[in-house]
Amino acid sequence: MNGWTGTTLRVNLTTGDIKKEPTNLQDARNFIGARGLASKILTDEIDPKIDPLSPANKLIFAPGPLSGTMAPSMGRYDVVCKAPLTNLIAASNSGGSFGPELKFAGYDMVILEGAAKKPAYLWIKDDAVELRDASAVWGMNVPDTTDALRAVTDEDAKVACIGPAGEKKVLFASIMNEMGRAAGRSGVGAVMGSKMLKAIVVVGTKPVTVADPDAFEKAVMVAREKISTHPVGGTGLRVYGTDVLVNILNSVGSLPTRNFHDGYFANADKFGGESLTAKYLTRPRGCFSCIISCGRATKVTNPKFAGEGEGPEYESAWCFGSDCGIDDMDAITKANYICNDLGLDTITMGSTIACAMDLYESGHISLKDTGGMAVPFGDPELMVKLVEMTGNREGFGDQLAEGSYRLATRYGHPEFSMTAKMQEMAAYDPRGVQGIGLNFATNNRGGCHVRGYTISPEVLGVPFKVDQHATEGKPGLVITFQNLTAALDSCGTCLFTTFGIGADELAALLSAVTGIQYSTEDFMKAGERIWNLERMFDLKSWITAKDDKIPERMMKEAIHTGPSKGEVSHVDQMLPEYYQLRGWDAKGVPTPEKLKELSLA
Amino acid sequence: MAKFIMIQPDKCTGCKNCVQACSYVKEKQFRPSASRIHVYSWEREGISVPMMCQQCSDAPCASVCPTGAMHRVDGSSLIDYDASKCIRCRMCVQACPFGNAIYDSVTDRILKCDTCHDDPSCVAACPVKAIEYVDENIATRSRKKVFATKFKEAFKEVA
Amino acid sequence: MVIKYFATLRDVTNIKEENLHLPPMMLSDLIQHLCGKYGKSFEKWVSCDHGGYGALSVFLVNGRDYRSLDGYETKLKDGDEISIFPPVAGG
Repeated sequence: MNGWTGTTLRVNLTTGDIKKEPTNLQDARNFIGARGLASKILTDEIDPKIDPLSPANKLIFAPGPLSGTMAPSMGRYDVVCKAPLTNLIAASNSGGSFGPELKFAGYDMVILEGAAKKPAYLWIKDDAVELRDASAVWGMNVPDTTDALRAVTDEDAKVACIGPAGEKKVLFASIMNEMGRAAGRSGVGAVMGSKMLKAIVVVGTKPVTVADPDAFEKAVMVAREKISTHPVGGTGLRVYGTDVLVNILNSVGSLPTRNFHDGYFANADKFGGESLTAKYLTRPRGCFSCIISCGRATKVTNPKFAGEGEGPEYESAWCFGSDCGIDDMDAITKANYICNDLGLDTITMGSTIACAMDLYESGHISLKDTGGMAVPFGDPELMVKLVEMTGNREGFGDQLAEGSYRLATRYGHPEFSMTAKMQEMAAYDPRGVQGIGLNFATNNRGGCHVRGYTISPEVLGVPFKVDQHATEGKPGLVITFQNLTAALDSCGTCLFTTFGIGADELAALLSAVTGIQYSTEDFMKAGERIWNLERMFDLKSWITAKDDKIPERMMKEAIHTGPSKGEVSHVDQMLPEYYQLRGWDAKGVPTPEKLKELSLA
Repeated sequence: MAKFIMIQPDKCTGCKNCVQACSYVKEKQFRPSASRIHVYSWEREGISVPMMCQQCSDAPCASVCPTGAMHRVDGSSLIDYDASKCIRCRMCVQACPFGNAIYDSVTDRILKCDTCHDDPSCVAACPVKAIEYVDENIATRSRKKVFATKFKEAFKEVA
Repeated sequence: MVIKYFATLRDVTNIKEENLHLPPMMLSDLIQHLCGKYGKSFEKWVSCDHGGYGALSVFLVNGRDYRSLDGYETKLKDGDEISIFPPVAGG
């Protein structure tokens, strides 16, 4: 077998049973791997109504069929489960070498069921798979856990683990691999914590093979050439990282500021990619088989916020920066390091702190509620302290650990939470960029930017430019990006390869590796199939069409300053066309014909 | 003029494209454990270092080889491996001070870099020129110049 | 008018922004003026292989993308703010 290893590992944490099963190749063909194939398994095996933190939930670690090959930038894998933050399906995507290492150990995915009675970790060395006691590392942060588990297994093992935040079931806890890489969104770390699983430690020495070497070599050459000669994929991301976006988003008036009260922040340049490269960057880093190298190894020397680690990405710099009214890059970077160490999603963390600051300044929470802490916008030391308190669920941090939706609802003002379907939106103001707002509203995991990144055409002009303020044509654009991303995630591919290649090149790579011929249309159809599969799960869980929305602030409160002044979001006007183009009925439900067309009926 | 593979860890991103290229060119499959080049990463510091055979002038692997399987190629700086002469005694593995000669139980052979006979695939695959195949004196010149430039800047600041 | 530079362009200009007193002109005239001022290392970021300007650099006039205005024929006047980004991306 090529691409796929043909073996799925299933571990029941309640009973300790470890089974190796053949991967279902019919499903693999239709859902590709990673996000798609793992979602197919999850939706087949769990009831959408279950409590995500109960043993009935399953947690799936899934690389893709291209993982472990040298197709460019194939270092990604997905963690799939029902998410505690959204109560929807989660597929949280991470880089590094962990995903490919699972393939080298011989597995297409690892399915974890049930819950252990005491802390455990899973040790995989090729065919030898063992559940071991993790009591000695329970309570440790991510880097210490990683070192400690390598010391008792293999010093070069790849370790994916949770920190204290996952153990304490912070609803947006991440799973970290190789210390600085995060399966960040939706709280997959809390699910791991609920199963008392501290880590998966893996060493693999087996081969990943390709079906058609000639076609593969040609497809790799084409993809590498297109990405490396592209001005963005080839050089821009390596030099400045994703944080280079701060200035351009601010310059078009769409950098969310002070919990989305505004879309422009005067001091944004202080935490942009140019400043990061000049003052903090040690060197660029790359995931497995990456030729883009957007990762940032950085260092902060200011004693107050000193540290060393990875980050910040644009999203993290924004949420701890302008969203909290803060321009201190030392503090922003430190907050990112703490999230990595404790195992927290930076976007939800920063946005939840911004929500708390907003509630405090509006008088909806008082010193009594916060345990005596004043929580104003713009205080860098307070922001860093709140991150630490949240990861450890200390004091007021225990309330922040539930995310902004539950925090704001607790004080009677859910409208202060900048979420879609209870997940915090990313760093693009939907009032200034219309398409991304529609993506937030319709996204299968709520406020997420990486599953329909219309910013590329709406702001950056890649691969073509459309007017960011227009609504015409946006539903179709959003759908194309959502479908494409679902398919490429499922290969194990990094989203940033699309700054250079698209469905044509990915279909060619996938065909050469697996030996199954995927046309560009087949590839896009697989993406659409995966999107509809996720939608069906979400509908059965709790959402209806009225939840396809973004916060009312986006519709009612115009941006106050900067180039997008006066703009509001028009999501409601675009939604009917979105449903129609998706082949869904007026209630946002996929029609029986559509499901049949996608072989989902 | 003799060429050698020079590593520049400061540029290495840890992506392992070199490892993958080596494994694929030599074995037609992706099996990092079969690669002749390895990359070690220190995640806390965010630094990675590629390691491969240095083609030593006074090569312990060749010196200890009882059959001449590990041998210097005449008129070249390359130490090559001839599997047909090898008796798998693994003395070369024992002797290499860098650990760059490896016994592979899957293929029952010694794995050691042969610079792909003057056209190293690892170098071609590196996206950031952290490994380069260069003339020996040019390589050292560029490294010396990097430090010379730092000196120059330091003196400029003093003056 | 105020011209702002970002990312790699700052390495070329060695400044983040400057105030230029220029007569009213079109965007293409300004780009030509800046190419003359900063030379080839500036020009390569704003010119196409086949001549003319564009490639993937982004020009904003008062925060509005030039492609949503009148393109290279967008009229500039004193007091306008022009931001120039070489190709950038992220996510």
